[in-house]
Amino acid sequence: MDRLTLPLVRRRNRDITGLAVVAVFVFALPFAVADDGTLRLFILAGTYVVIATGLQMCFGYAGLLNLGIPAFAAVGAYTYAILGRDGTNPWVAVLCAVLAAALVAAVLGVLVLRLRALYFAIAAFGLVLIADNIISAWTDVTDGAEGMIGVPQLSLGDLLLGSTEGTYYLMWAFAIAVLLLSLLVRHSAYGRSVLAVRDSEVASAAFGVPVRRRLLEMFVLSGAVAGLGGALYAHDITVISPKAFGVELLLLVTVVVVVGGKDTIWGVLVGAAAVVLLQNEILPAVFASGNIELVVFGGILVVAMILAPTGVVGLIREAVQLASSRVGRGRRAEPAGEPSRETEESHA
Amino acid sequence: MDKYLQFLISGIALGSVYSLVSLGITLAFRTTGVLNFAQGSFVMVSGLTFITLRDDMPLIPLLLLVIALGVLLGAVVERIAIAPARHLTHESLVIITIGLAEVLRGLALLTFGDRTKYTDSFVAWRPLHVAGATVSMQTLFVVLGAVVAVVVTLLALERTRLGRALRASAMDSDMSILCGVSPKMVTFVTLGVAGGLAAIAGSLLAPVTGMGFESGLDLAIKGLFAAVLGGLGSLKGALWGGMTFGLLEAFALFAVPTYSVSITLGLVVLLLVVRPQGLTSGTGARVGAL
Amino acid sequence: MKTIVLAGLTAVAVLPLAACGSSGNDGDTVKIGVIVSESGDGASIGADEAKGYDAALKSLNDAGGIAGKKVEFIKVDDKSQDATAVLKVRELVNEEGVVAVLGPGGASPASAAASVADSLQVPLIAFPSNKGETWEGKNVSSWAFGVAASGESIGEGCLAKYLDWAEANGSTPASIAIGAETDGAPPQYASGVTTAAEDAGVDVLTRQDWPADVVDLTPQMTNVRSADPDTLVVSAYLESDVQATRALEQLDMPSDNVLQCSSIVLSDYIDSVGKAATGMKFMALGADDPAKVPADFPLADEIKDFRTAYQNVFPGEEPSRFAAGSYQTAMMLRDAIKDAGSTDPDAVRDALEAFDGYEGAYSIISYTPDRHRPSAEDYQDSSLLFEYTGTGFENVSADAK
Repeated sequence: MDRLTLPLVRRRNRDITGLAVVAVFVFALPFAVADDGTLRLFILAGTYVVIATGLQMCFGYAGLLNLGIPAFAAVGAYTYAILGRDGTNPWVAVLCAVLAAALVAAVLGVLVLRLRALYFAIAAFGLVLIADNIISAWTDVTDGAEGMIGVPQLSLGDLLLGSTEGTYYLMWAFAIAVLLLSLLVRHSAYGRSVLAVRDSEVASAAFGVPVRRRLLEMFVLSGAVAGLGGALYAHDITVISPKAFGVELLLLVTVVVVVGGKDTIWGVLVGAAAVVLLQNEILPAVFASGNIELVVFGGILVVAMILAPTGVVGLIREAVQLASSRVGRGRRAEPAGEPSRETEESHA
Repeated sequence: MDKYLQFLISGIALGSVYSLVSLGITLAFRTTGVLNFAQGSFVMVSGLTFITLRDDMPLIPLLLLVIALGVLLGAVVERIAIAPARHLTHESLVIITIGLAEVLRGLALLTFGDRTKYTDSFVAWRPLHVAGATVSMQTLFVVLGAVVAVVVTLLALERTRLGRALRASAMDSDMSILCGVSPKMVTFVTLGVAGGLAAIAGSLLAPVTGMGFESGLDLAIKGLFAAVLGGLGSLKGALWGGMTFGLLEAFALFAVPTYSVSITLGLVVLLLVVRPQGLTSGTGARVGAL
Repeated sequence: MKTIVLAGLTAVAVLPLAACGSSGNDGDTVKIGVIVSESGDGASIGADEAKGYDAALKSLNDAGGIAGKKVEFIKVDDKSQDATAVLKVRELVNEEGVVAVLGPGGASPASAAASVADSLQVPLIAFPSNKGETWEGKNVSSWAFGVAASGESIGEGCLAKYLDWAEANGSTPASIAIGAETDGAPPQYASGVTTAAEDAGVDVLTRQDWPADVVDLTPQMTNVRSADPDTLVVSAYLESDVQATRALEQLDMPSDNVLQCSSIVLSDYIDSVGKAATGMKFMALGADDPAKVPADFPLADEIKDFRTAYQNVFPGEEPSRFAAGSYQTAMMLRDAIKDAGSTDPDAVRDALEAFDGYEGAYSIISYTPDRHRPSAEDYQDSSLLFEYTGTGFENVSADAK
């Protein structure tokens, strides 16, 4: 391994190790804390992690503000529910859910990615409304706006995974897998080409990167991941309705990504924890009415974007850099030819 | 025949409202680069205020008050949410306006409750009957009001110093800075005007459809689509886009009422893919266009 | 570094929650879970329902509780969302150890909660019971019971009562037109109306449909006008009902041959349309306007008791039908526990299923193993026909005079 790739590989391994630590912690938790309520909070966080990672990959790596994420989650959820109720094996239904979401994303992506950035954002936002409309109107298939009940749950052999503990492990197994996917994408040559597209379409095209294809691939990937999240949600709650996949979900997922930090998976984890805590512990304790949620999360979005566009993780990173550059001021300059840590970090 | 005429009238009425909304959006976008996802919420808040105060005040003073409040809302939003974010990317600003829209939606829910509220038409006159179709007085007001508001705005942009400053800033912001036009002032005024236009739209619309805390989302997306359809670059485009969108929606409501939203939005997306610059040549929507 | 931060954050998350535990059922109190919509778009109806529960709680404890034990309501908010309702049922049963669940108040959250009640095997009594498959038929819920009749029964009863009135009035319609919303309860009502019309030999000249968020109903009403029916029957929720009424106004069409078989709160509707509704007939329950209930009405005593209990907690206020509905669910649970002689879930469930001709403030109830909501007859016997005179409502039902 040469000088140039060694730091990159090190960074990847460091991140993977970090994720492994998180995984161990997550899987060990139920042995220490058996309380249903706590596990439920973690399940909710896990759901957000899966769906938000879809947005994180698309927005953070490719610079595509895919505001249509809730629509893809809806496609996944309803595909899983419809197939499952019809008698399809739930695991097969999950797979179909992911594929269906990916397919819809592919078809829509081909159309919508021809549009410039802001127009793309508007069109993506419109997808949320379109999905709601189609689900509500196609009552023969989706049971309409009132929602679908009796969604079957996943099971491993004889063990039904519908209990709190079962769903906890299921959700987090997938969450870790999705985070790992995001990690691997980020730290691969493929991922670097995506980042290049984000930073400059013209330059990356000049270097031979197939810009349109990369964007489409990331769009499809984000849709597929969101679809997975939707299917898992359907397994968990066993009832789904268009309301669950509307602007509220978009707001929450966006807050997760923006507050946590869109550039890394750590942002998603931090953001999901923050949102779940705020929504379920802090707000109910401070305010009597649940209606305050919208105002608070909307306000957080505005404030976070202005004060900390790189998110909490970004702030921590900057603080660490500031601290380490102060500490290192006394040392001699690094030998020429070695890429300095600074330049690599700033492209994270 | 009269059924088609009825839908045509519907379409023109809807189109007038969308023209107002998309005018606010396009104006803001041209002069500040901000794509205001909260424009629909401005309309909703103004409309709800109008309905709530209707019983307490005569019509004309109420309209003036609501418009003034709308301008104030736009200006306040600009100061606290847009100005501090000037240096951020377009996407970040979009996220900010989405956050704003949700804040307004939440505040409306807390202030006005969850029920849709209604109010009477501006005047209690009987509807007109034209060639077998019926045109309510409020529909006429909507169309007239929108036309007047648009004409006044365009004239103001054309004839007044402030208006020329706004246009100059939109055309070439660096040059206009050199000429002494402050970009901060431009943003401030533009968002205020957008708020005022939204207030007019809200007041006109409130007697027709009623207003509730959820009304903003619908209007926001449709206003954005209408603006984009019109080309997002030119103000004339905003009008064409709004009218076309309104007619498209009326047609969809006539043909397949339950799927009208998907059909209308879907058609717009297809139109844009085929003709990315929108109906009139504006900034253009295709990737790579300047 | 990041991992430490993360672990730290999670620890912060865990610590306060470690304090929560599952509290078992106290020897001295009967714990009942209550799900209402305190926030979200069902909040105003939820507020009414909450008041009904408050009235019920006081009334129960003033009378010595249930089987000598104090009654405790554990009230939670479902935020008008199915998902939250599901989670709340699980929470109430698994963590709080309630003996039964009352609510939720929204149609789809209620069905969602019913499916959870089935898997957890806990009795649940909900107020709305539209979604057919949960409350009736081969997929009927075993553990959940509803207080409202099926949409079709309601629609049938609505037109039947109107025809009775018309006959007594000498103005039986030969033809009707139906205008209905396309989703939720209204199309069910409309189909019931159609059945009743067919049974009575009344022609349905045209059927107009519209989506919930429609803005302009003049086209549909124009079609009705051209068909020229004797009566127009409207089945809708509040928003589109108001639009329909406005369209009628615009088109100079009469209101006194309009029958409202709609799912609306009468006072909200009148607040929104005012005099435009003059002469309209409305399907109503006694609880909609207790003062107008005649003395020989089957539920007259229950409604009076309910009103007294309600005004005990909210003096000077008139209750709405939603408060009556939630009040009734609580009373039903009390009576089921009394019949069963214990709070054992199976016994209570069986006791509930045995209800036959049970009288409550909202509706008469009879259940069967494959019908866990009132029958069409139950509904008819519980309902009234109101007319809006321009200043208030009047009970014009032909039978319950």
